[in-house]
Amino acid sequence: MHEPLLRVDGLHVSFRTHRGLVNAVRGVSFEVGREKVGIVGESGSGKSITGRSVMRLLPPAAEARANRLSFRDIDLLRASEKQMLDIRGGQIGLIMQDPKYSLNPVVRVGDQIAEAYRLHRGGNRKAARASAMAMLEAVKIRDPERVYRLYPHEVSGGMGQRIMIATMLLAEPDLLIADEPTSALDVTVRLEVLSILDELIETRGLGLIFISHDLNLVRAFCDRVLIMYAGRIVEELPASELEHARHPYTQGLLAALPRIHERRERLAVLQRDPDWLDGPTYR
Amino acid sequence: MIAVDDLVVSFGDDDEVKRAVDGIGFEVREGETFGLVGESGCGKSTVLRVLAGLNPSYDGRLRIAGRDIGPRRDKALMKSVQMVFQDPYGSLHPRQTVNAQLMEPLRIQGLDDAAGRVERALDAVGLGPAFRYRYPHQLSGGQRQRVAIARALILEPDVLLLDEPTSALDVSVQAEVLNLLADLKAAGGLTYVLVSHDLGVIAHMCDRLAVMTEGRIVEELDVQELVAGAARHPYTVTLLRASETYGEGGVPAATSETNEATIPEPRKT
Ligand SMILES: Nc1ncnc2c1ncn2[C@@H]1O[C@H](COP(=O)(O)OP(=O)(O)O)[C@@H](O)[C@H]1O
Ligand SMILES: Nc1ncnc2c1ncn2[C@@H]1O[C@H](COP(=O)(O)OP(=O)(O)O)[C@@H](O)[C@H]1O
Ligand SMILES: [Mg+2]
Ligand SMILES: [Mg+2]
Repeated sequence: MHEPLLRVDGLHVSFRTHRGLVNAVRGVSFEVGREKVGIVGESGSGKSITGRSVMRLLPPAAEARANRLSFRDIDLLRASEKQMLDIRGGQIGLIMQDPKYSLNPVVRVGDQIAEAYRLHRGGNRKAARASAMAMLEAVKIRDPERVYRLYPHEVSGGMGQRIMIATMLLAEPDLLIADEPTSALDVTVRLEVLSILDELIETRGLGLIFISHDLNLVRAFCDRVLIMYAGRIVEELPASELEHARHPYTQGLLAALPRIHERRERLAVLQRDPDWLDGPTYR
Repeated sequence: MIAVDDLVVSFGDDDEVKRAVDGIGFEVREGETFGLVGESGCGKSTVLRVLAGLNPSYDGRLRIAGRDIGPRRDKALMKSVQMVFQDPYGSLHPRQTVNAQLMEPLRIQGLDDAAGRVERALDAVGLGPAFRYRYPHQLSGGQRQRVAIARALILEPDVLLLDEPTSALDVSVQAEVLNLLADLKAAGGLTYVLVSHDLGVIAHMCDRLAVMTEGRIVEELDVQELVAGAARHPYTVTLLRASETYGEGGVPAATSETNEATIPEPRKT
């Protein structure tokens, strides 16, 4: 954790729209080492745009600037598009909510993993196939021979996400950005996918940015949590300390959650304070 | 209030028939909130759609408010059972004002004092009269779900069928909608059937619940029993443990995939 992989300092992203300038990210700074960092917040708070800025995968209407945006010693702000192609999927992997959009529908899943391997690591087809097979095993797919031959539409959501993880990890990236990776999965399947991700991150010593709207999930899964509100990080704290959050927004989100073992008459409703937009942050 | 007996719903043609609902039965008492939980594709929405009269081809017996229900329903019954869907974006007509969407069921039912009813329904869900002439794209997700609830309530139903009513919403907005549903029920005269994949929501809202897997009910129990750890079916136990785990920290050790491996993705309903 001492040597940060990623450094983000003073990131601003705005969109030109017909209704004027939308400031989606307003001065976000954080570092990520070989650890699991969660970014939580409500929809629209700027989580995905922050993650995409790191990958330089912003929509054309977006304008980004920062004092610093670096991965290792690479200046991501100045890197050429060719360099970025190498970084994306090579050194930084991206896992999205729905693997259906990331997998090619007409190519067998095994061949896609093998292809990803050849793209980043070279080598012949046979070696790529063997690596793909080993990777399917690493994400605990029981019958890799059979699954290798399936098409994306033939696999369930949980299996699709395992395959996505396998594809990302083949290139041996140092940093993973997972944007709502399990939000479309059933609770029990979600836990299976998370435990696989957890194990692979631990054993390979990767850094992870875990983007989620689910406070409970991030609390259970990550080491450190960044809470975003309206384009800013308003609070940062160890996941185990979330219960002691100081920002009223974080406190409000926690109080709004229905809990299995704490039946309450009414759920607390978030009273938004205009002061949160530019008021104090807790880090 | 509701009695379902040996309900079977099949989809597909003669070559490949799939029983989405495979012989289930349950009863919901008047004034109760009854929960239905289970993995996606296990048949929860299909059960609600049958109860709402949106899926006329089924086998089995259905009683609502003491009456035997056939596949064809009269106006009074249509009025008495209303449904709220998961997706507040998809369930409202994009090019009609809130007013027009609330008027529609009134027109079908031939009810008088339409303007007054629209106003009262909006008021009941906490939206002022200013919302009457807005279009869905001018509303937030929570406001849209309030409009959908208003549209269900405007006919003064006895039963509200809620299909994942808050899963598309942020937690803070979910809290508002769940509180609203609790208030409406406290005002009297409503029975809820609530589908959710979130046991926290079920535990918060329901009196009793049924747990489904693959078209069948595997366990039915009181929420108190669930919370006290008295669930007996392995699936209920797994579900509870999974839900608790990520509420209280700690992710269990990685395991091989379960039999969900190659089930085709369920159609989005
Ligand atoms: N293509 C776009 N055009 C204009 N505004 C956008 C666009 N994409 C995102 N935004 C704005 O950026 C904000 C943050 O979006 P996003 O990072 O996707 O939120 P989150 O992932 O936290 O839900 C949104 O509130 C939205 O207003
Ligand atoms: N109109 C339909 N035609 C064909 N199959 C359907 C239809 N509606 C639902 N199904 C199938 O029935 C099963 C149960 O679906 P559903 O009731 O939507 O599940 P749930 O709401 O529990 O996720 C699924 O396998 C789904 O694919
Ligand atoms: Mg997002
Ligand atoms: Mg459903």
